[in-house]
Amino acid sequence: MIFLVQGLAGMFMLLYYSPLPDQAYSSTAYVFKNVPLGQLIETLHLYGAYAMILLAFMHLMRNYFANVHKKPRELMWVAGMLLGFVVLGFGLTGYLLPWTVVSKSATDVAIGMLGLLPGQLSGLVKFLMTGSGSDAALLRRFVTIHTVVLPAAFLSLFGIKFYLFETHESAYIPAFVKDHFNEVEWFPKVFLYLAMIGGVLVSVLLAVSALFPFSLPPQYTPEAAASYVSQPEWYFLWMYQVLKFSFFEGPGIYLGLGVITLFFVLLILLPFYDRGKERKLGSRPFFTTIGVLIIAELITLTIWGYLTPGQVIPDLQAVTVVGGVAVVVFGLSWLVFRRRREARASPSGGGALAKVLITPFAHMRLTGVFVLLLIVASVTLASLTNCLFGQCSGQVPLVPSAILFIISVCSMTLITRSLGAAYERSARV
Amino acid sequence: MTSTDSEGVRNLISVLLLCFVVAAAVYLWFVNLFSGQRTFGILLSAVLLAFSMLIYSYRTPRYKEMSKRLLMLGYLALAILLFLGIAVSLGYPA
Repeated sequence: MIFLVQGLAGMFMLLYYSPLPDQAYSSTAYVFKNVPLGQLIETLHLYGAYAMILLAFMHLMRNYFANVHKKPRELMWVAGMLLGFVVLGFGLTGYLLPWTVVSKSATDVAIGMLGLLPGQLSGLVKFLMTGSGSDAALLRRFVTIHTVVLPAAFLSLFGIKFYLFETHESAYIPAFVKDHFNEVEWFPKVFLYLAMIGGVLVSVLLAVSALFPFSLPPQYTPEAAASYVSQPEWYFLWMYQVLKFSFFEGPGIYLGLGVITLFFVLLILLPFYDRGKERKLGSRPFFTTIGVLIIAELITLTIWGYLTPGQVIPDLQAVTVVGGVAVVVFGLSWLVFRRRREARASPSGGGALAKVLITPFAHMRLTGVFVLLLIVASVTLASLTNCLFGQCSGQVPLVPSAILFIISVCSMTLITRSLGAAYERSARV
Repeated sequence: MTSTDSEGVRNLISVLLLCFVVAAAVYLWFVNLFSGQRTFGILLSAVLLAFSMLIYSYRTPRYKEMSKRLLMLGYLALAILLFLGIAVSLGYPA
């Protein structure tokens, strides 16, 4: 539904857009100032892109935890991952089109990274993305990729995913209702369901776009760019933050890019090495912990990147923050899974704590509070180490960070303890 | 009537939502699309939400009770959107 809205808004904007470096900004500004509903539609397109990326990530993690990537749905997972890259590609290419100082500087950073690819690959990818290398060729390529190549790739991959879904059916259907599954008609039942969910999503997007309209940043000029600290959009910030670690500076950047590439390759190939038949979260401590760790690290790196624009991160600080988050996640995971094992071993049955933390869909509120506390702990840890290493950003000072960190860790421990005690009391009664 | 399960309540909900959708759509027709972009966006958002609630009411089978919590949440969101629409059309926040 959001893709449909994006397509319609994009087509509307293309009516006015001129893909030339000296006209791109003015044609976008024209829509903002002189076209009926212009600002609303431009804002809707931008926030729609954010929503698509966020929903794609949430869908990815939900599928990871629900273990729907297992046999026979391996190719569905791969198609979904490729769809995710296409959505990120939409973000990267669309960001440049208004030709603002913010968007051009961020794109220059991304194109600079293409030059780091090995050997002939760098030249080939650079040629495909930027053409002859001039501003005009770059803009023309990005417009073509954004409006022709990526929509075609998106629709093809969506078609493949949809076909595979129809072939293998949903992974959530219990065996006893499987016989009735095919009786649910696409029209009107599924169609109405999709219209209802889509209506709510677009309604939220419209309200946010109307309440917080986007203002166009200044036009790109080399002089304006020289005084601007380039920073990518929020969905690329975590990668950018990783590459700002001082051990990835200079020749180490190849290692940094290698780590990021390895992360994506491992994620794509997940169904081919995670071959176990067990699907329950609680029975897969390793993969569950890794999933939580991915979420915690991505959120921490994104917020940390936002707080430290353009700063190189010292080695010790990077290890402290990334390692600190890992220690917190692994510690909590060990606590939960140990209690779960004890509860299973006891004659009275399963533990309340394990149930609360391992079955997130059954205990939304408590899981939500726990995840929120985990995020607060991770972010305050990042900001604390920033201050300890003399790089206080001024936005999150030392004392409040320390207090928040202590409060969040204590709250997590208290929730854990009180739930365990409550369970033991109820078991005794 | 104590339950939303009753046919009367269900019909009343649908008629009220339909009236709201029609009234808002008529109002939207007269909004200035240059100066009233934000009002237009908020009201269109309210119309879409009301339309989604109508679909919810239509697709819930007759033998099944509609979720009171979801309905209340929807009405609350509609009230907030209406309030925001009025505030924005009066120039708040600037």
